[in-house]
Amino acid sequence: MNRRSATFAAAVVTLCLAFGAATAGAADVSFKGKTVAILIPYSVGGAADIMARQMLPFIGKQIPGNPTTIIKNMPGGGGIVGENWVYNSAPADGTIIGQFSTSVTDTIFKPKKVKFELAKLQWLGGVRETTVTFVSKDLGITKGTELGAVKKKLFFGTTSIQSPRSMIPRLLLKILGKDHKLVTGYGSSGDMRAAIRRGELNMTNDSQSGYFAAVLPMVEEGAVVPIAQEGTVQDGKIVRDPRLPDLPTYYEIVLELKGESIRKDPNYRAMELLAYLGGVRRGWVYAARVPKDVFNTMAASFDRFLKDKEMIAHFKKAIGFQLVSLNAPAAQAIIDKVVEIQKRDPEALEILKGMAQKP
Amino acid sequence: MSFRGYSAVFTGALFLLMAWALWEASAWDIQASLMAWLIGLPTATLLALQLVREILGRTDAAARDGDEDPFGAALLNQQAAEAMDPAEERRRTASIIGWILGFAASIWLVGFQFGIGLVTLLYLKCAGERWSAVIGITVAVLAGVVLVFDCGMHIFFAEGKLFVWTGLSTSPLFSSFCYQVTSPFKG
Amino acid sequence: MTLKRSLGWLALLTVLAVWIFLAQGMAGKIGAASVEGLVRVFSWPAFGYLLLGNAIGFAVGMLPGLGGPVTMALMLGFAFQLKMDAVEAFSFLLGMMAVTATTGDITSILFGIPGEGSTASTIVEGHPMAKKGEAGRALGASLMSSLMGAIIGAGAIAVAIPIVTPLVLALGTPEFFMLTVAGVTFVGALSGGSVVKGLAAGGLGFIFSLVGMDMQTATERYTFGTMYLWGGGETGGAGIGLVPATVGLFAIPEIIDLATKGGSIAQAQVGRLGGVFQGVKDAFRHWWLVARCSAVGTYIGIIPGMGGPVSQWVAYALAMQSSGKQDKVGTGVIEGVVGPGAANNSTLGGALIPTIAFGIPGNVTTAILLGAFLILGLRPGTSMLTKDLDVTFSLVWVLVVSNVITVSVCFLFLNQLARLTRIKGTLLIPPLLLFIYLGSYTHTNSFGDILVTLVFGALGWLMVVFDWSRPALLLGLVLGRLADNYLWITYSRYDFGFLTRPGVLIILCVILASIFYPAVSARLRRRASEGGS
Repeated sequence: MNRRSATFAAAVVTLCLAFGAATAGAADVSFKGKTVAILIPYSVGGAADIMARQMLPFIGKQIPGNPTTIIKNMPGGGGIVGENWVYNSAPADGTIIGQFSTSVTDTIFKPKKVKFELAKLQWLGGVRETTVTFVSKDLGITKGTELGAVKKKLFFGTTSIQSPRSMIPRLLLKILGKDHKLVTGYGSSGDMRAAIRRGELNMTNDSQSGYFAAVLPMVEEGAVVPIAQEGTVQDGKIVRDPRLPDLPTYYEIVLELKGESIRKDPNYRAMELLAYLGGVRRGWVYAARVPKDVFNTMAASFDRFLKDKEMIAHFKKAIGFQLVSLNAPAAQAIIDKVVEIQKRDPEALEILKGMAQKP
Repeated sequence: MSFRGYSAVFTGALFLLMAWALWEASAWDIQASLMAWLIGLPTATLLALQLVREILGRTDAAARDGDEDPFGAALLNQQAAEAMDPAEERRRTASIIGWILGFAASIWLVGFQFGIGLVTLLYLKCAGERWSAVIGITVAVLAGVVLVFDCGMHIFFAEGKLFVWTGLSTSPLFSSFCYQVTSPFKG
Repeated sequence: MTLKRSLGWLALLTVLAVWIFLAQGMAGKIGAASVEGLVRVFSWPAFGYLLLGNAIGFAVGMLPGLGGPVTMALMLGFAFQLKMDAVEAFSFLLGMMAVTATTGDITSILFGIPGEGSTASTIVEGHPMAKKGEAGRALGASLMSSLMGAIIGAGAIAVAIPIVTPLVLALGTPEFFMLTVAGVTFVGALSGGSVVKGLAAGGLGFIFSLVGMDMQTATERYTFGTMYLWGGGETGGAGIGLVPATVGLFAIPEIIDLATKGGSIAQAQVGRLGGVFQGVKDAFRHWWLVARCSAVGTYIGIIPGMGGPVSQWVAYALAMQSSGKQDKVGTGVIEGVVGPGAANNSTLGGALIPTIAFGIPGNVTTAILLGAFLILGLRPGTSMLTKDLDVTFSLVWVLVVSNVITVSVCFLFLNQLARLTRIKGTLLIPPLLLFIYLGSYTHTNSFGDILVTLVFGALGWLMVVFDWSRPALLLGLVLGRLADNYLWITYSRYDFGFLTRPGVLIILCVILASIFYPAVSARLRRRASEGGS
């Protein structure tokens, strides 16, 4: 083979490769004729399931090739069975999308059974929500900063000692040095609302959906007072949720009472870590094995879905407030931050692990 | 062994189960084990009491000691059992237990869709039914399952272990019949 | 007996007087909203959706693999895709749900397999009736009592409106805990057979309920290191699923029995067509029992966490105790069909009360309905009792109208249904086994469900052979997790001080009375008969 023909051959190969790469990048992967399933790691009828069923008609029309979209439920292990399956065993062709709710905290609190790595999941998008702490009117306070001055004994209710949602208010009380009794075991937020009404509890917190749906009527009625919120992560910072602009975050309350120096307190850092952990309330993920081009196509579909005006209007009606969504890069950024803090601040992580053990 | 003997063995087994449950619970902290102790201790006491009563023969089980075949259908249906030969009854009981376990095993090995068809077909044929009835019922049962549970509710049918071992499980045929049936008609 | 009867009347009249006192001034508004609700249910297309819901519920109730709550969650998506308004959506969803407990009884009676998780109790007395050739009578009695129960449960919503706050908030968690213990004690001690064995079976059920990941402490209890037995998830739930355990305990022994004795389910000649009418007469003859069981079912519906799976057994115990036939358990005692038939239907009405009034869903069904409320832009709470009172009443009417329609339709087919018990057993066994496995598999869609069914099948069969109370064990399993949570809440909130609360003490007395009642009443009866002779 002479030199010229060798050069020619090389040029052809290069051209072919380049062309191949270009077409792979440009042309969308099509799901025509396929069935795309959103896998819910919980039973039919739970909050995660109901939300996904409402999403379904809106997401289907955004995916190239208009595939049939269905929900598959794989409950068990508090969500871990389904999450492990998505990561390790689901088909790698992109027809299975996992909807994860507690995967982020599971990696911290139940590490033995978790068979996936947070850093390697491919995040297609997610929604974020804040959480709101409210107290009974019997306490006679109107603001979170007055919490330390409450005379009555505080009974703070939550589902379980491991509930990440309850840990921020627990840390708040700890930093304020306020003695309280942690009452655990409630089945749902509904049970805790009933307990507040009958005086069994005088403090608890709820998700934003729960707050708008069922707590707000109690606030209007005068039975309870909201005092603080968790806030959401925006551009790497914890801010007040745009849907609750008048309610201060736990961090603001602590900073107002204790000053800037509190930022060095490991309890405060643990509080911040929790905000990032909850940054992606529900996320849609692909396993690490799903090819990049399939991921890009689906991430773009989710982006369109999350901007769909009809979908936004539907959810506004259904949950009573504007859905704030995260596209793929935004969700990924929060998860990266979580992974980074976990590595950087083992002390804060240990505090959280300790709180999951005893009140 | 007499009926009373078998009965006492069963009660004894329940007592041992309860004792084991309490022993396990002793390793947990107070919050996880409170219920096990609160309910488990009285239950273990009641079971022990019952065991003693049965061994001493102070129960109604003692009255049935004369029964030839304690495990038969006699207890579910007195009349029919009286007329039946105990050996035949034992054979039938063993046979149906075999089918119940076999059905479960086939679901585990070849998955729901194949297992259902296979066992229905075999059972009916072994029961001496005509082919027309065998095939009719098998097809009806399969069609019902696929239409309602697969196509309608998208139940997640796990693949049979046999297909996992042989590496055939990637074919969608093994996780959803419905997919296979309907996909040619899509767009 | 007369003393008990007159005490009952006295209690009823007192409640009525209190209610009239509290409802003063609301009567006119309630009347108007009630008429408006009825009109809205019968308007088009709401009524069409109601019929569609009834038809789906009919099938779902009868098929053991399909549960009412699961199907309702699936239909929720359908309802908002069709852009139904509130009354239309509830006609559809609640119309579907309301009839499942009614038609679920049919499968339980005919085949000994529970059509729904809340209809297992009708197997115990209803299926033996089918074996005796009295399927028609059992079906007639169960359907009629279901209708009566549904009407009473629905009526309870209307009655509850003025007194909803004390009704729902009177009892706290310590009392709930005591009620779970009382429920198991009732069923263990009063449903017949040996009291010691009954209570022990209930205790074992409690222990079985602990299997799984304890969400409080992250302790794995009796899981053998397997994830399947963890249970849990967003809707909670224990490691041992209710449906796999129920199906194993009750259906597997029936299959063994059917195959062993050969022939068809009905061993005797199926009674002439009059059987159905006889059953209807039974339901009316035992009207006082129907009323009490419906009341019990309604109140159990109000208590958070409990529902049909609990109320059916408490009603069964009540029915057996008041029938005086505790020595004939499992032989086809008609009271044991009528009582649970009414209770599992009235429970839905009761469960709706806290959902509507406070947005507190007591069980999975009402949690899904609450989801539907929100999607449709309704906010549960005081507005449902004032501004949207007509919607609230449309719910009441959906419960009533759905059951009237379904029960009427059932009566047209009842004789044909009863004839199913004459089909040769060998033809029935494959489909029945299929439904047993499919029904349990839908719990978590894993093979573990089938293993649980097999283990509980073996246990259930041995319990039948050695005469142990399966109802007590199952109720222990249903209530155990709840009791565990309630106990811990109580302990962490009140320490042991909860034992001095008056409500707790009263329930404690009732528990002790129910344990010793069988022995005392047997002794009294013996003394009376000795004195007489």
